[in-house]
This record gives sequence, structure tokens and C-alpha cells, in this order.
Amino acid sequence: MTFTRRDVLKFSSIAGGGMAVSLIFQDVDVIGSLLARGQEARADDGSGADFGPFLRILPDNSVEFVLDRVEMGQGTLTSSVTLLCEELDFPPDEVKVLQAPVDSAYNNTLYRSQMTGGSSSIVEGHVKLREAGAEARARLLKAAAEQWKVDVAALDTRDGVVFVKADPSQEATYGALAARAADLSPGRVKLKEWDQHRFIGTEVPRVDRFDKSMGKAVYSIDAAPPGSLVAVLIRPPVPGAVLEGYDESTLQGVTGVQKVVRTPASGVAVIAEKYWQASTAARALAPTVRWKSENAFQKSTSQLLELFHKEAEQEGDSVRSDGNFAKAYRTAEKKILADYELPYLAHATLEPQSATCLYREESRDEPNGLVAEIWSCSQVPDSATSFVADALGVSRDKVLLHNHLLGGGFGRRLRPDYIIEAVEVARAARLAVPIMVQWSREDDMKNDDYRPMAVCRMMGSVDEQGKLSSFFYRCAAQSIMRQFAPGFALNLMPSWIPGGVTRFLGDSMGSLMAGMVAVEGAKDTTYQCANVEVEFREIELPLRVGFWRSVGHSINGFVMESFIDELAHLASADPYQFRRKHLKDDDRRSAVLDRVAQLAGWEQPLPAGVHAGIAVHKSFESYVAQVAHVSVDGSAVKVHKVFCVVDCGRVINPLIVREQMESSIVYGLSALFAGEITFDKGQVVQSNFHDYPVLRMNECPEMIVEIVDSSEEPTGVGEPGLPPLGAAVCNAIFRATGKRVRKLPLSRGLS
Amino acid sequence: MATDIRINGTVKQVDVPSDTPLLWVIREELGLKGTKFGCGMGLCGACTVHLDGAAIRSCITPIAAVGSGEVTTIEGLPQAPVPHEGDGELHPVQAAWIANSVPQCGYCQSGQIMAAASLLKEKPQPTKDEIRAHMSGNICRCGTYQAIERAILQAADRLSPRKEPTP
Repeated sequence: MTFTRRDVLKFSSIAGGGMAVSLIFQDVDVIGSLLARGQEARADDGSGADFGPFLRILPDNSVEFVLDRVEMGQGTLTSSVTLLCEELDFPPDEVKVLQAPVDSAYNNTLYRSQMTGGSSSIVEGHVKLREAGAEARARLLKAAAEQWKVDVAALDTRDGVVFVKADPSQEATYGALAARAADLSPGRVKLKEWDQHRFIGTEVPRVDRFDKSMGKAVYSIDAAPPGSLVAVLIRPPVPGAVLEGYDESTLQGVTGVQKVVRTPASGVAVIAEKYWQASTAARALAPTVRWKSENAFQKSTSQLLELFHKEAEQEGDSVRSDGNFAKAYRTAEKKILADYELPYLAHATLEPQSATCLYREESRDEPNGLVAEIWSCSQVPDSATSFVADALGVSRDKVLLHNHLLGGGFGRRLRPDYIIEAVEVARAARLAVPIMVQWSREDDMKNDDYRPMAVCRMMGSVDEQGKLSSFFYRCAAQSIMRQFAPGFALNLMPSWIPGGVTRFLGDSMGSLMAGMVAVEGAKDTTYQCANVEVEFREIELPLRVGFWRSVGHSINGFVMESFIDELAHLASADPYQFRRKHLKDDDRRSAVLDRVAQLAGWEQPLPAGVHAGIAVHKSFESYVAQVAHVSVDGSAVKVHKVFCVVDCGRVINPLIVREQMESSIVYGLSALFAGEITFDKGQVVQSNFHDYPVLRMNECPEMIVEIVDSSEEPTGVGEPGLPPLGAAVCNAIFRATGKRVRKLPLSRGLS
Repeated sequence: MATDIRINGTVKQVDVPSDTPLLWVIREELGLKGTKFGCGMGLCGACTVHLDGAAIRSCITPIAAVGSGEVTTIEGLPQAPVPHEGDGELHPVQAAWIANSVPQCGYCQSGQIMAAASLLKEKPQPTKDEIRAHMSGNICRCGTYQAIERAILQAADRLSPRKEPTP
């Protein structure tokens, strides 16, 4: 039995501060997110009426919403439903959410692809989703007006019902009107004013909270169809190692093993009926696998550090050049030069990567048949499809990707390597059943595309008045865009363009865009200074790097806000006041900085041993300032509180904004304390959560988040809470110990 | 090796090597997907289930160690004894999770809920420190820790109403 509106009202609202909660389910089959259960947009069976690509209303008054982005915890599923429901006038918890297929109708127009990332879903979607709701409602009103022979102005709606204002007992459900309404034109619709909202701007609880609290949510790892086999892949131990051979006889008599195959990427896939069988067999086989490593990457982190430091001393590509830094710095009396070291970081999504592929040879009997049907999760379903089609040499319509919930994204699922792998395994195996390639935690830790390591050379000076007189930033790191541009090109180009052309374009894009994300958050600094230089020195290595929550800002937020703190100290100035006097009053950084200082009691004395650090950073068009309260005992750093003020323009859901700030703070703290991926002769050292520790509940500070009341356009919140966090904490450490943290993570020691 | 396993109020027969982790028996032999795989080393807590009402990490518990114990997974949690009328099909911890909109990506939440339920069985009125210590075995990469703590306090309060605020 489905969940009625009456049942919804029985939930205490969070705004209501719910104490005792009385819940009565007739049956736990609640709607609120079919997507959580792995439902995709269904083919039209004729019963529903479509109102554009996002919305279908069925005769029984159920509302189906096709989600164009993916939900990975950042809340876009709930926000999207909320935006639609606001204008449609329908309860968010009752919407059936389905996942969009690969189709350009579901593009994120900012990226001309179906990408979810860059904290952009609301920026791109808030008008179009509201319009979708408003247009549907307008049509429904017209249909009712027509049916009852009244003026539209005489009608109103409430929660899926159209009624006559003067006589509310005269009503019809959306479902009853939908078929006729879908044929009508909406006319020009006017969206509600921001102060007229019922759902937008309130703490709408997450629509997918039911399934996720009952173990019903379906992730990639759960999505393999019945009858699937499971494969564990033995991958090259170092980038560039080539498979020579292995001794399959070790698996003789091992239960459940179906096949062992080589893949084009030099892997060995052990295919079995069940995961544990595959995993056990792979562990037995692994010692017999031989690799040729002559041309492989064999460096260790100590060598990488040497290389990076050397590169950081060399001139890079200039991306900003104001005034004359060299002269100003040379002639300055008070100046600092500081080199910062930040490590490679793993995404460590709690759900390890997986993908299932059913591969069928192209056949003359079934020329329109699918060649690859895939079940997985992806932040770039269309790009993944393009890659697979390209790898198989087939047209894109021969590839079908079923997208699912992500057990964590953080940018990891922007690279479809795990999907391509599964297709390669399935193609090599030639078994007529779906094959799931399941990654272990060790596989995930060692085959990630890491947040790039960086050495940043910072130089700056202050004048007699304590004002910035020169500022220099140079980042030496690998380029993420160089690795991803070819995929963007492939996805953007129509498939009839020859592969060579596409690849050339991709490489060119890579060169043009090489420094693009690397310098974000540094290039656009607004600290007033006449002489500013920002450079990017690209380092080319055969290590996979990728988008890690807040990307370039994850490095530059730390480096910029730590170094500005160093300059404040050089000027014998209060860190908050120093920043503030270098920012214009109308800079939105100023407002969040002022408010966080106030909120955290910056002027007030703190308990003995507790010290405060401050940081402010703009990323993805949102502005965040944080103060951390920290105490240091020897080498043990304890973060007691983090105050966080965020300006993300008009707020769609303050609950989700707060959650994303908390989420970013926890994610950032994990990395700050102990996050590092190191290499030993080319091999990743870390393997699981014992040697790549992440923050746990007992280490979590108290987080106090405040949202600025703003009438600016809505901007994103998935990532902006992360960049200032490291500096806020380390600036507090400096106050506590006199030691400036320039090398991360903290577990390397304070010195 | 054919063996009986008591799970979620029923008895099922499975035929797997005796060293097969309970996690994979649950997921693959019995088709219950609510219990998740996160690390395989008992470090992340995503695989948490109950054995005779107490939380265990099923990824490092071989099926041989289960014996005649009663296994409860997230799917079976609602049927665990529910002290309050009107909870219908939900355990008070789950009800609190929903009321507080705890899950973000949700992948860790089955394990979190199972850990929280076992805590409240052990300690009906846990302090905040006891909550944090008990729950520190469950990693959440989305950082829902503050919301989890709120939900546990609310569930505890519902199960055993307190006169004084929680220390």
C-alpha cells in the first residue's frame, strides 16, 4: 500500500524540533524515491502523460520525476524534487523519482553533458526544474478550466488536486486531468517570488531517507542482475607494467571459478560464481602473475618530492600578472618565501567501485541489439557510454548504462575506468551472462585517480603600513584537465567524426586547459595587492589524477589561507583584521568573514589551551569562512569546534546546506589529519582504512554552521565547505605552538 | 559445506566453504543486499549485523563462527522486539533516522543503524561519549556524525525517557 499524505503529516518536521515521533506505516512500501530502489525511467506504457522530459503524471495521481543528475549524498535528488514540487504543488515525499537514461535532454547545460559535479546542479537546474513544475501546473489548470467551463483564475491547486476557489469541493486530481492537460500549451508561466515559497527555503527532509534507513537503497554493488558472475581483477602493480603471464594451474579444482581472462589493460580477471570465490581464487593466482616493468613507473614519494620541489623553483605558465612582483618583492624589507607540500589523496568512497556488463557480439540477426548493457553508477553516464562505444568500435546506441545511487562520489565517479574495465572483462570472457567486476578496498585505494600532489611556492611581502606589497603563487603539480580533456572531447564530438580528429582535439583541449583547475582559488584571489603573480608549473607523470572534492581549491584554499596568515603574522597583525582590511567591503568574502569572527567570538578569550584559526575562501561561486578552535598537546591536535558561515545565495534547502558544510568539514579533516597516498618504487603504499585513516565519530568536532541570508542567485554547496578548513585548523595550530604547518598531512608531524 | 543459518526469524540452508565471511553469505547466498561491503577488514562497519542481538562485523566473521546464533540484518531489524506501540514496521532507531533525515549517500547507514540499535540494547541511556565511543567503529565518508548522534539521543529518549539532559 502506498504512503498517503496523512501518513506524511505524522512525521515530525525537523524544523518542529521533533522529540517523540509517532510513525505508523501500514506497510513499508513507501514512495519518496523509487530511484533508491534502482528504478529507471520506464518506457512509456501509454498510461502516463508526459510533461517534458522530467515529469510524467499517471491516472492514479502518481507523479514520476526523472532525475537528470546523480545522487551521491549531496542532496541533489531532494533539491531537484523540491524545486519541481514547489511550482507543481505536490508533496515532495510522494514523488516517484526515477533515474534519467543517457539522453541529451538530461544534460547539465553548463557542461553540455550529463555530468554531476562542480557543485553545479542547483545553479544549472533551479530555473528549469521550477519551470517544468510551473508549466505542468499551468496545463493542469487549463484542463480543469476547460472541463468545468470556468476561468483559470477561479481555480487553485493544493498537493496534487485542482479545485474551484469559491467551492473547494469541486476538485479533480492531477491524475484525472493529466491526459488532457498534456495536450494543452502552458502559455507563459510566472514563477513564484522567493518569499512565496512553501518548500523552497525550508528544511525539506531527504526524499530518499526511507529506503536508505531500511537497507533498501540500491547502489552499483547491489545492481547486478540475477545470474551474474563476479570477477576480481588483478591489475598491474605499477603504471606501465605489462602482463607477461600467469599460472592458471594454481586454480585447478578451486570451486566456482568459471574462467580466467586477460584484459587489454594488462589485467587478469578471475571470474567465478560468487565474490568470495573470485577473491579467494585471485589471491591464489596473484603470486604467479608475471609482469614486465622495464618502462613502468617505479618512483618513490621521496623522489617525487625532490622532483616537485625542483619543478616549483622553475618558471611556470603565468595565469595572472599584476604590477611588478619581482621588483616589489626584491625591494621589500619584510618578506617571506614558503614552500608548501600537499600529498596525493584518495577519494575513499565507502562503496568500492564496481560495474556489471552483459556483452553480446554485434549480430546481423539483431542489428539494433545492444552490444554492452551495463549496471553501475557514474557521475558522467553519457561520457562513460561514449568511452565504451569507442573502445568497442560500435555506435553509442549499442551501449546501455543503467545508473544507480552512488555510495559516495566526491569526484571519483567522474572517471569511468571501472565501467570500461567491466566491459573489457565481459568482452574477453565471451560468456553469455552479465559479469560484475567488484573492487576490494585495496583495489580501490591503489587504483584511484588521486587528488594531485602539489608543491606550492609562495612568496610575499608587506610594507611599512602592514599592507600587502607583493604576492606570488606557483603550483607545481600534475594537470587533471590534461587527463580528462580527451574524454570530454570524445563525449562532445558526434561519433561520426574520425577518432583521430577527436583525439587530436582532446589533446589540444588538454594543453589549452592544462592549468585550468590547478590554479582555481589562487588566480582569482581578491586580497588587494598591486603586484600579484600566479603561475602553474605542470608536471607530467603516468599517475592517474582526478577531481577530488573541491579540486584545485582543495590545495589552494589551504595554501592561500595559510600563507595569508603568515603574511599577517609578518605584519604583526590580527589574522582576521589583516584579511579584512585587504578585502573590499562589498566582497562577499568580507561578509562571511565578519560573521564567522562574530559567531566564533574571535575577540573573546578562549578556554586555556584552546586557540582559534580563521580562513575564508570562495569556490564554485559560494563563499565560506571558518574558524576552528584547536588545542595541541605535544603532537596531538584536537579540533574542538568548527564555526562555518556560508553564503550560497538564495537557499533551496537549509538542511542540506548545513549537511554539506558538515560533510565537507569532516571530509577535509580526514585528509588534513592523515590523508596521504605515497609510493614505494611505483606501488601505492596504502591499502585500507588502517593505513589510510579517515575521521570517525569520536574525532568529529562540534560543527556550528550558519547560512547567510542572501538574495543573490543560488550557488552550490557540495564542495565549498572544504577549501578553508585545513587552513583554519592549521592557523590555530600556529597560534597554539608557533609552528607553521606547511606539509600535510598532520600525521607527518608538526615542525 | 551445507549448514543451517538462523536469520531474521527464519532458518535458511546454505552450502558454502566454512571460511566464507557471513557478509557474503548474507549478500550472495541469501540475496539480502542491505548489508554492505566497505573494507573486508572489519575497519569501516558497513557490514555490521547482529549476532544474538550484539553488533558484529560480518565481513570478518566466517560462517563457521555463527553456529546456531540468531543473525539479524537491517532487513530483519524491524521485526526485532519493538517496545512501543504504533511503530509499525520500524525500529525506533530507524524511525529516528528518518525523522532526523540522517542519511546522505546512505551507504554506511545500514551499519550505523545496526550499531546504534545494539548500543541502545546494551546501554539504554548512553552518554554522548559512550555514543561516540561505540559508534566510532562505523565510518561515514559523508560526515553525518552530528546527525547520527542526534538521532541516537532521540531514539534513546523515546525508548527510555530521561529526566535530566544527556551528559
